[in-house]
Amino acid sequence: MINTTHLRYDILRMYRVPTTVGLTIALPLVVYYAVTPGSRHAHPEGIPFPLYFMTGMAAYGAMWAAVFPGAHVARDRASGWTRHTRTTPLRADTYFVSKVLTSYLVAIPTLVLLGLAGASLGVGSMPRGGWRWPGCFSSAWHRSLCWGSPWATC
Amino acid sequence: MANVDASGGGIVLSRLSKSYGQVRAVRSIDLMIAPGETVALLGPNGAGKTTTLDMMLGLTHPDQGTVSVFGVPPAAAVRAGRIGAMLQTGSPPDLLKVREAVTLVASYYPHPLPVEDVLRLTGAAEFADRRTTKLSGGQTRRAYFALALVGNPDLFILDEPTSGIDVEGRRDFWQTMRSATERGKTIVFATHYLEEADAFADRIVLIARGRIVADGPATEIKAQAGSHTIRATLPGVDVASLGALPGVVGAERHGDAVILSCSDADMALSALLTRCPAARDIEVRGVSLEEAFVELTADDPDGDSTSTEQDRGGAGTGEKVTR
Repeated sequence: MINTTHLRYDILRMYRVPTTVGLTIALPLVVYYAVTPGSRHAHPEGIPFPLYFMTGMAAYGAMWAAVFPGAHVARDRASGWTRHTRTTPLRADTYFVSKVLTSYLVAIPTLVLLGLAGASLGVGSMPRGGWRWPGCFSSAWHRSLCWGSPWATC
Repeated sequence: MANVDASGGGIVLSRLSKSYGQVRAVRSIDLMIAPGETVALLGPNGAGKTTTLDMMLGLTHPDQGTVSVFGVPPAAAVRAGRIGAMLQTGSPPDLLKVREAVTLVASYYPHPLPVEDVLRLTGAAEFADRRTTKLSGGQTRRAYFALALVGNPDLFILDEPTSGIDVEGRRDFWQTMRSATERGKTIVFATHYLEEADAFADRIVLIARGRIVADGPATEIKAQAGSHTIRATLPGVDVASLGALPGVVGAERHGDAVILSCSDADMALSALLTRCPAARDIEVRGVSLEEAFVELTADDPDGDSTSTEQDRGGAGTGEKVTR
């Protein structure tokens, strides 16, 4: 049900679209670094702003990571590639699972880089909430999937 | 005709039909293809070639009739990795280099050929590191053929594999095809290029209006349409009576000239001269495959009726005089 070669190329194809790199990685990082220093000491909903905004930007990047595989499904259909794969032993569920896993895996660099960015602004050592960030990230990561390819392929 | 054993060693289409709304794309086709044969489905646009191939691939479900590929339904043969296909409008996936696309497809099959071998055999090695979207028309078809080949299938189903390629490119493609596929592979391809069917297929299945109108080696197809024509200037003679002469299978009038399609030109010529000594400007010549093609696939108004007439093997022969 999982074809690792297929998965590897699904991920590679994602990173060959410059927009994907821009929206999943570059934009969240740039916005995070641009906005956070000015509001370092704010506590929206009782959470330190650097943590609050780090989670928000991570969720934003992860959302795009989830959206793009759906766009690739549309691409494959429009180009006739999906039809061609129906003449090969590739199973539809392998194709589908690979797109879902791609959503998950392409979000990881975003989360890691945002985590490092947060650490560089002192998130880890902050009172009231520094310890929360793994939970925030896990939530941002898994919930981003609701934007993803399952709905595009159904 | 193909020698297909009862266990279904080859491809068997039986009473296969498919309609799209009012359009009857394929009408009760029966066809057997033995393992190892190279068969061309030849016909004009809209004849039903693609629909027939799509049903062999399991991409389209027939309204009636069955398809068996190596004794199993097409979908099972596809799942087992026994079929490699080139679709009419298909191309390699975008955002990948040619080598990557071939590696990707190889991962789908249980017993693929080595990727580098396939790139070399198909001539795709020279552009293996280019993106699939940055290729010329001929290179795109080559790369696409590499995808069909890499799975090492037993059956190739190629829908107009050389469409959009120039004459030289077509010859190159088929040379590659020949050297890349070992003996014993079955190849079914659709084309509307007569020379291509003539040059590369062991057997030509001529399709028109969803029916098989002729089936056999190119020489037989020519014979079916009448192997020779006699042209003569002969005003005022009833063409229907000329059509009945021995050795003649069809007669047409063009102004003062009559054109006889003949199965036996010698017999026909002597009968013609005996009957019409006034015939002048007599010209006898062999029929080209192109003329046979036009003769056999000519528009037939009766063909669109819904009557359950038999598939007319050798339709066209003699029809023109009786209409």
